[in-house]
Amino acid sequence: MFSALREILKDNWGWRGQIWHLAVVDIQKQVRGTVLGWFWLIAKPLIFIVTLWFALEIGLRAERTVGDYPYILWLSLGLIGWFFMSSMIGSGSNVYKAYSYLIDKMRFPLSVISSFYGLAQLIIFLFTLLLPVIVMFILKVPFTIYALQMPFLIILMYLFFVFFSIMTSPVSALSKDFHNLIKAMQTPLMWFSGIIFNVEVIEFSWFKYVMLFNPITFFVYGFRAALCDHYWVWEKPETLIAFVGVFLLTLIVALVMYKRLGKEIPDVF
Amino acid sequence: MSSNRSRLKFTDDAQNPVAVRLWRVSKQYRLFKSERSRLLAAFFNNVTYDVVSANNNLCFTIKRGESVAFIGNNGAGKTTALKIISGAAYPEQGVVEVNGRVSALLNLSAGFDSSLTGVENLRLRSQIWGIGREQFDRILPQIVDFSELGAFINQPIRTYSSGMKARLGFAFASALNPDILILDEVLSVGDKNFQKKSLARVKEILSDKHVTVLFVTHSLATAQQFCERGIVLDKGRAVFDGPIAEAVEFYGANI
Repeated sequence: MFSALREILKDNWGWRGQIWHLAVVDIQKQVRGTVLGWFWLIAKPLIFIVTLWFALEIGLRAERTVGDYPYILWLSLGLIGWFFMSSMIGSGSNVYKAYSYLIDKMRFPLSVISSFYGLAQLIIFLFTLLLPVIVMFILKVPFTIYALQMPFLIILMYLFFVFFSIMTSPVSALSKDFHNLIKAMQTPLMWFSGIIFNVEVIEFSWFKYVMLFNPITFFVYGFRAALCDHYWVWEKPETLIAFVGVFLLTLIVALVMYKRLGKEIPDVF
Repeated sequence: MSSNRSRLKFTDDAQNPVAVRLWRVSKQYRLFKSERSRLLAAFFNNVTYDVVSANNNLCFTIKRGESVAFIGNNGAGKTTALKIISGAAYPEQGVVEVNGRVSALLNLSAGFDSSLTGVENLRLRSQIWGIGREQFDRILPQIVDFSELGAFINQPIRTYSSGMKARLGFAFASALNPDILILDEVLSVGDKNFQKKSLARVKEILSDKHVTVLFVTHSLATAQQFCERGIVLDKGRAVFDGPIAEAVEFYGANI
C-alpha cells in the first residue's frame, strides 16, 4: 500500500509539467468552439444558483434556517463547491475511459490522469469562486481572519477528490455498471449534504449522521465557516472527525484499488 | 493477479548498449464470461475466467542501433510484445528493461484526442514527450508537410479518415527523434506515394546508428529490406531469432 502511495507521489512529481499542460488543454477543450468561451463557465453556475435561490428563498422561504446574512450567499457558497465536486464524482470517477488514448498507446502513469483532470476542474472552480465573492461585496459581508481557511480547504478538497478518482476510475473502466451507480449517487449526495438546506436544523438523528459523513457536507460547511459563518472548522469537531475518517478510508481504498487493478487497466481499452 | 513477479525498468539511458531486454516475459489476457464476472473480479479473487496467453516466456535482447522485425501470424503476440516494450501493457511475469525514449505507433494510431485538432494534438503530445515550445515550432511544419494534411491540420481529429490519422501519427512518431522507434503495421498505410515516402523516412532513421527500430509487418519483403534481424513469434512464443533472411525462410517453411 505504501509502495502504491510512493509510486503515485513519484509519478506526479515527475510529470508535474505535463499535469499543468494537460489541465490547460482540458479547459481549452471545454471552452473551445464557443464565441463566449469563459463566459459559459460562469454563466451555467450563475443561472443554476439564481434559479435555485428563487425556488428556495422566494418559493419555499428557506432563509430562516441560516445565519444573519442573506440566504443567497449561503446557497452560492454551497453550490459553487458542488459544481467542482459533481464533476469529480461524475466524470472524475471515469477518467481512464475519457483519456484512454493516454493509456493504451504509451507509458503514462494512471494517477497523473486523475491529477490533471482534477486540476482543470479546480482552475474552473477558482474562477467561479468569483461569484460568491461578488455576492459578498454586494451584500457588504466583510472578509475576516477565518477566510484564511479557504486555501487549506481547497487543497484538501482537491486531494480528496483526486484520490476519489484514483479509487473509482479503475472499477469504472472495468464495469459500466459501477460508473452508472456512481453517477446515480450524485443526486442523493447533493441533497443529503448541507448544500441546499442546513444540516443543523434537522431533528432526525440517524439522517443527520448520514449527512455528517458525507464529505461534501464538510467542504461546503468549511467554505461557509471561512467566508460567512465565521468560525474555525475545528470548532465543530464532529464534522471534522467524520471527514478525516472518510478521507483516510478513501485514501486506503484508493491505494488498494490502484495496486490491485492498475496494471490491468491498459488491457481493457 | 497483481504482477509481483514482473520487474520493469524504463530508463532514459540512450548510451546503454542494450536497448531492450526481455527475460522470460509472459503476458496473459483474462477473458470473462460476462460483465458481471468482470465486475466481481475487481473485488474478489475466486472468480473464474479464461486465460489467453499472448506472450509466453519471451526472451531476447536488442542492442542499440539494431533493426528488428517481428514476424508471425495474427494472434502470435507481436503487438502485445511491442506494447510491453512501449510501456502500454504490463506483463504478469518476467523482466523488462528498456533504455532510451520510446516512440510507438501501435495499431496504426499514435493516440490522439479526437476532439482536438491536428495541431493541438501534436502540441499536446509534444508536451507529454517533453519537447519545448521552440523545438515544437521547428518540427511542426515538417510534420504537417510530411503528413500531407494541408488545411485539415486545424480540424478536429474526429473528422479525419483512418488514413489521415495514420499519416499524421507516422509523421509525428518519426519526427520525435526517439531512441527506440516502434512501428506496428504502419508501413502499409496510405497510397503508394505515401508508402514510398515513409519507407524513405524509415531508411533515413535507420541510417542513424543510435536509433533502434522495432517493426511489425506482414510484408516480408519490407522486413527483409529494412531489418537485419528477425524474431518469429508463434502462439506467444519466440520460435526463431536470427538474421532476417533465415527468419523469413523459417517463417515460410514452418508456420
